[in-house]
Amino acid sequence: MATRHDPSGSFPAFALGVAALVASPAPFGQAPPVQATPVQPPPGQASFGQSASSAHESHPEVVITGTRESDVVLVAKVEQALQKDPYLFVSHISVSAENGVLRLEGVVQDPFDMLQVVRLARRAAGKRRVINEIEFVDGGEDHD
Amino acid sequence: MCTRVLRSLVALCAAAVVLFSYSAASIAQQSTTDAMQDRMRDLQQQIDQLNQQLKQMREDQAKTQQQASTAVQEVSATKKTVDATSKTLGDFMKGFFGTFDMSIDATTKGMSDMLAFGYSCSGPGGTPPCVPNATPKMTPNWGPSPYGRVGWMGMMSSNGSNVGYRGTHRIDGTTVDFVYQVSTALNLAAAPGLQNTWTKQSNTVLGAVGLGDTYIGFKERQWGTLKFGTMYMPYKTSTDRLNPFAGGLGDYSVVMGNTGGDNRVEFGTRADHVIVYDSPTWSGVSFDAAYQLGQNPDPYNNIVSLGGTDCYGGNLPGSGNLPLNCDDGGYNYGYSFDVKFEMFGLYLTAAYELHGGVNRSSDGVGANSPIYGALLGPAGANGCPTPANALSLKILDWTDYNNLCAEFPNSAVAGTPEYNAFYDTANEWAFKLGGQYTFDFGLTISYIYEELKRDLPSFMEFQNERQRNGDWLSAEYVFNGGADRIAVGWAHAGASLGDPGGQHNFNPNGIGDNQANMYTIGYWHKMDKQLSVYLQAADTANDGNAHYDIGAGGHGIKTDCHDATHPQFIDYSSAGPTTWGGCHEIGVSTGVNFKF
Repeated sequence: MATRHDPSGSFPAFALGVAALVASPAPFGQAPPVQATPVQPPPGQASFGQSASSAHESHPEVVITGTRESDVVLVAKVEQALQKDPYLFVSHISVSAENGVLRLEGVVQDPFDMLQVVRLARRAAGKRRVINEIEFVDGGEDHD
Repeated sequence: MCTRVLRSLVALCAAAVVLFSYSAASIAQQSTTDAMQDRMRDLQQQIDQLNQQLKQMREDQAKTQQQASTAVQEVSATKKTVDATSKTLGDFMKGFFGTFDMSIDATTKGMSDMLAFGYSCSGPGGTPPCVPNATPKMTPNWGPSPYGRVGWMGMMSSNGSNVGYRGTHRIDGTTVDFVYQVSTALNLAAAPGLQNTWTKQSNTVLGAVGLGDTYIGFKERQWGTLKFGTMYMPYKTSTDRLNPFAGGLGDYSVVMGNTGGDNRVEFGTRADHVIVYDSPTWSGVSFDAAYQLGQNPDPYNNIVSLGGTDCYGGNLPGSGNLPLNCDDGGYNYGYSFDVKFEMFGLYLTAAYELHGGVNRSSDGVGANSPIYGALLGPAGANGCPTPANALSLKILDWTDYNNLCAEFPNSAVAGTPEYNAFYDTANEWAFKLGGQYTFDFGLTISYIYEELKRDLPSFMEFQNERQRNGDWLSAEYVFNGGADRIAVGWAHAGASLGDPGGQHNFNPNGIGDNQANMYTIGYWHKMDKQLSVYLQAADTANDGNAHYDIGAGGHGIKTDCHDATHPQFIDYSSAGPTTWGGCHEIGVSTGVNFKF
């Protein structure tokens, strides 16, 4: 299973996006992806950590790193749920998350597999939004 | 005195002893010092040698370490290269996908007991009301019943099997991916080749790259995907997920998107020369749009499009019972559009597709209908027209035509429209609404309502079997931790506006008597993530003039209402099996499916 995790790009833009997300009402009743657990900045990203600290001082809720971890955790949870299923073929499915919104991409070769992937992903993602962009490859040819 | 002397001697001796003792010690000491010096010298030499050796060893060690470090670096570099190569290879291999599916079917056309009667009609110009003659039609070669083996038959079928490769390539300095896919449909049960069986004529070759969704394009997360190639269009893909029986006998394509019955799915056929745009998803809403370039120089779209192999809509030229033209559904351009909404377990979609200038000449004159009398010459015996010219001799199967004319002796004389390819070339479009709800406990309910339309002038509506509505309802339930699932489905084809009357047992009273219902049930058991087995059954009940099948869509072998009639013509027509309306196909299929 391929994994793609973003947000990518510079921190200020990311922070603005997250701040906007936190400030705005949660879409479709979804709770903001707040994660209180402090997170160590990734190696080689001191500026990220420093900025996070600054953000921590000015915005006690500190959702920035939490949101980022939440995406990682979200993707990991969903991937684990999909891979753990003994009957679901997900080698061509990729899972990514951005600001707490889960995205499923790739192909399945049976419409049922698509439904099952989405069903399991929703179950694992809890109340998070799930965007289904999985394609069904219909290998049949239908000339008569 | 003696004592003194003795003392003196003793003293002297002592002195001597002392002297000698000192000297001996001194001498001995001197000797020891030399020895020690020698030894020290030796030791120093040894130390020097050892230092030298140590230095040498250090140098050697340094060299060794350097060599080891170099080796480690080399190994590390090699490992990185191997890892990178493995990853590249893994990524490359991961691009392959496919399905192998093989089933053993037992199906019947359900028409072995049918009889065809001629009709005597008392309406104006030999039109209805009609009553069947007392004596069945006696076809010269075989009698009044369908010809050939039309009962239960065992078959091996390769269903939806395919192999493909897809991938992406990030364009440097952008967020745009170049995307590509090549695919081919496979027949695992027979040698590859042109698909020219008794009820299926196509120039496309199973197993050749391109017989499957094949495209190149560009994808950007925020802007969507633009693809160019040969692909299914949005009208089909929008409801693929509502079809639990895809590739099976009970594939909903038996009815849905299938305007005239039989095997071909007009609004579900893979399109050549098509541009497809897939939008991103905004708050659960997305849309897809496609445009199919016509590339057909003929004003009636009666020839294969430039760069194509088959007529648009499927089939090779001549499959429609007429000379080698694309008059059995060939069209020019097409476009397709869908809107989708998905949130939580709910999925809703609306889709539309249009085929421009669909040539259906074979529905009328190709059906040997006497209504097209104006094509022919003046009335002869019994009011039946005579051949107008050499062309009409080539176009019509005169044996069948004269049989029909004997049934409807005055139809042609009644002044039906002159045959003109333009008259039977019209736009066709389809529209559908679909909904699906997926419950978390494993149940999925799906429904589709569909309308099919052919924009014919009113005087041509009598043969318009392409205009009707349809429904599809299915329920699917997964249980046993995802290992098993069952599904049931029902498809309904509404009555069409007209009927070309091409069936051998056509009932002229039965215009509109061509509804059909398809019932299907299936069970699938997954052995693991990739391997599954299944058992499916389907039953299509046709009204008297309807001729829907089982297996249309992705199933490898279709079971339809055609018999095995095999007359030989000299008119370049591929006129093939006779259609028997009202056939009642039933089939059971069990097979194995493997995905990778």
